[in-house]
Amino acid sequence: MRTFATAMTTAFLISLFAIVSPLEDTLVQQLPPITVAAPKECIQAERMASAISAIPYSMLHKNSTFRPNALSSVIPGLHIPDYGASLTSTIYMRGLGSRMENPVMGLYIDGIPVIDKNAYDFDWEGVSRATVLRGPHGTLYGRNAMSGVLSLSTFSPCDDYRPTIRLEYGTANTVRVGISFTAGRNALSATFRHTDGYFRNSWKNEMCDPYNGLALRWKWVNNYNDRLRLTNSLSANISSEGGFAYGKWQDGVRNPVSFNDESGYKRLSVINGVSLHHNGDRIITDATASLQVLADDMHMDQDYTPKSIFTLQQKQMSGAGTMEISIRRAETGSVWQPQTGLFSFYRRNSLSAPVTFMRDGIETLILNNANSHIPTDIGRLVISDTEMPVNSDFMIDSWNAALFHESVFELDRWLITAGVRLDYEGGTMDYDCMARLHYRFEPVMKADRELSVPYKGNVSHSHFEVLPKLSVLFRASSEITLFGTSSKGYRAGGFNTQIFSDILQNKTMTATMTDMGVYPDRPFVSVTASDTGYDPETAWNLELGTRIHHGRFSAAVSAYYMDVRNQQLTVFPPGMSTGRMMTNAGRSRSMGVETELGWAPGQFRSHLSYSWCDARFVSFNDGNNDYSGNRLPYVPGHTLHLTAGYGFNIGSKTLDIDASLRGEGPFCWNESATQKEPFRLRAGARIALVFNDWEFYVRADNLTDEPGNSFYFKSMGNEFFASVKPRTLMTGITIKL
Amino acid sequence: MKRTVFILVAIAAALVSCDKIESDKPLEESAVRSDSLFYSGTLLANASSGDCTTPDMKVSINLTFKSDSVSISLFKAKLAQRMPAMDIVIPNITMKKEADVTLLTSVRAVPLAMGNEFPAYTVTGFNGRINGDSLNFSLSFGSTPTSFNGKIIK
Repeated sequence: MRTFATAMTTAFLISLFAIVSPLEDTLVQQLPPITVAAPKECIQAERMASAISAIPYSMLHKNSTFRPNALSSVIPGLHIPDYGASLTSTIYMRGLGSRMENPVMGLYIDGIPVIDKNAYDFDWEGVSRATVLRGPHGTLYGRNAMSGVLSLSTFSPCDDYRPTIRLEYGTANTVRVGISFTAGRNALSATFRHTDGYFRNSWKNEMCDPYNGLALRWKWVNNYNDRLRLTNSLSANISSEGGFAYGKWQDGVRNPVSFNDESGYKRLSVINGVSLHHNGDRIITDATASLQVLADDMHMDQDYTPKSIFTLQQKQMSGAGTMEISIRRAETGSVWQPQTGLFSFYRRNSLSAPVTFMRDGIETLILNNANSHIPTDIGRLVISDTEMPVNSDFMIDSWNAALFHESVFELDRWLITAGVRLDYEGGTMDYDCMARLHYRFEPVMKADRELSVPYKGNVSHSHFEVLPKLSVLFRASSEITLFGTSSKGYRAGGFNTQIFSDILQNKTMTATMTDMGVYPDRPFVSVTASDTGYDPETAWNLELGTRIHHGRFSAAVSAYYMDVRNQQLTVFPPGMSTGRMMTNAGRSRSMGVETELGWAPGQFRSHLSYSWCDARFVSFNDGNNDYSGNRLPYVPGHTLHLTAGYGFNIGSKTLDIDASLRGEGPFCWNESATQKEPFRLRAGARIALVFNDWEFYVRADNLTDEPGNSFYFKSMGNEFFASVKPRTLMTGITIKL
Repeated sequence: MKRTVFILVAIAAALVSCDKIESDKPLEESAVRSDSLFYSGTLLANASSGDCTTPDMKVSINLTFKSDSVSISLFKAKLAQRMPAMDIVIPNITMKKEADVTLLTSVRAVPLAMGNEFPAYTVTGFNGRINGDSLNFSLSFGSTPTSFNGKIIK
């Protein structure tokens, strides 16, 4: 077997992290002149005809960016609201996104795709770089890369990295401890976070959102020879938290959080990925494979009020396997740089989601509805149960297979990229549901009658997508590049499981009536299992952009237009509904401008990330209202992140002072735009005393305690809001050993 | 010939007698014994709130072994516009053969609905005829005069 040149490979990897650009301290780099590599591209990121943001370790550390949602607004057009629990990882990018089901952004950690969206919100330590490819990147990244790809790179044992210990303490009794180091062929990191919580449940008089979480990461790299490298990356996250701090909106005021039933979320996520890199004389081969396991358990007071109406538990155990192999030309200076690859994954998810109707819920949601169909002089339906469980068990299998190719042609100053992906995805869902109750019809029936309402079956779906891409990059000078791109992405379809409690609720009412031999004139309206599938959502993107580097000034501007078909929207189904479901509700479009500016003369540093986005329905009629022309809900019209800082040299130490402004909005919270949130700015600051081997810092977010809402939804006719976090102050110390 | 067929049907396995109808079991067409005769027609109820018609309504005459007493089941019958359709069983109908016609009569009977007696709609003055393939009857459900005309379902 022929040997491979590890020297070239090692140098390539080290170049990813050894940023020596004068823009090193800029918050977000726009393609520094050395190298930034996106996970799958066969060319360096600076030569990609795409909008890219890369945040180096120094800035991730300085801004305590240790979770994906901390990138919100730092990356222009990216909005990841902080609400609910780690389960509710909602991502909006360039106007696209949704509150549930599949995300619009792919997540890669060291080249391994994270399949389960429930694993998207996690704490990290030892991440050397966060790279975001903005816009659809379906050709190379496939499913769910419809608005972008977030790629996290962790430190390698090959890096020149000093062991680091970090301790933080602050508001809400929040403690964060992190450690990362390399040893031989290993790079290890661990982080622990605890918080008492930021929001009080006035009913229980206790904090409703405490958090405890531990994240571990181990990366092992072995260069067998100068051509072959094997990497194993193992990450594990375990957490236990409260959450769902939603206050009811009433008379124009958001009430304090107040609910009586159990709410919380526990999760264990383990991802192990193996990567093989082989440098051949003619072909470079990259192969990855991963096993991913996620087990979680969520409890939710689903009415979010002190009444005992209904509760939800959602418990799942999922396992997934991914495999990808790609080959590309070893010769880097040739006119034609092709890349071809195969991708596949399989996931099995066992999900149990019982909904328990409590006494108030039985009265409100079932009996009041049923008896509204029966004249009072005839009688009334009575259910004697104090609790009525509706059990729903699901077994969901998903699979995907894809073949992709991308060719890059370099012609003098021109780089032309063309590619296509053939992507097939399918899935099946076995559902097994059961509702049981004891009822009687007064005054006719003298005794309770037991009734069981089973609902069992199977639904399936499959889809085939062709995801092409064509882009052109022109190097006008050594400092200016121009690009244009057209690409397609998609977000996978799936099945609505959350709506089954509604289906069973309506079937129970119908079955109760039928059991009595009574047939209401107005049947109980409900969707059926065959309606629970939803199709993929696709987006075409047209984009023009430019990147400028001039000394210590950098700028990147891009303008885009995205056309979305079969948009997946969360709607409330017909009938007396308590759940929500995803459906393909028409067509929308999103257009906007994104910019990143950086200027770092001397010890001064500044950076601006800004986006303007106008995302609207082209056609959307939910059967009751026509929302065509209205803004898409939950999408900020602007995102802004402005930072400025200066480092004062004081002898052997440095006093770093940084200030920031973060802004998002305005938002329309619903399709009808009856609920809105204005654009709000929140200030932040950081003061650090930096020594050679350690630093002490104080950091503040939302310094002026600017109020606002981060999330909105409606349930049972009630409106709820989640508040943004209040002012937080953190002190910390970082030690490099 | 028709009389012979009728007797043979009457001899077939019988329903549980009306006063032993199991109130804990729903009334379904499939639960009616195979020795029932099924008809489909129109029910007209002259309710005080206005006439109410149930088209294409099914009726079964449920025979009892060695007895001239039958019960009549009305499936999804609407007795008033404001009422939901219901399955109703009228017990203790006397059946008598006269020449080519079968007469069905009852002076008074408490119907069953939702598995229990429904005294609010006590049946009085039930008079019915089976003539060939046709079934016709009239009665009063409480104070609501009601009539049915239908044909046998073959």
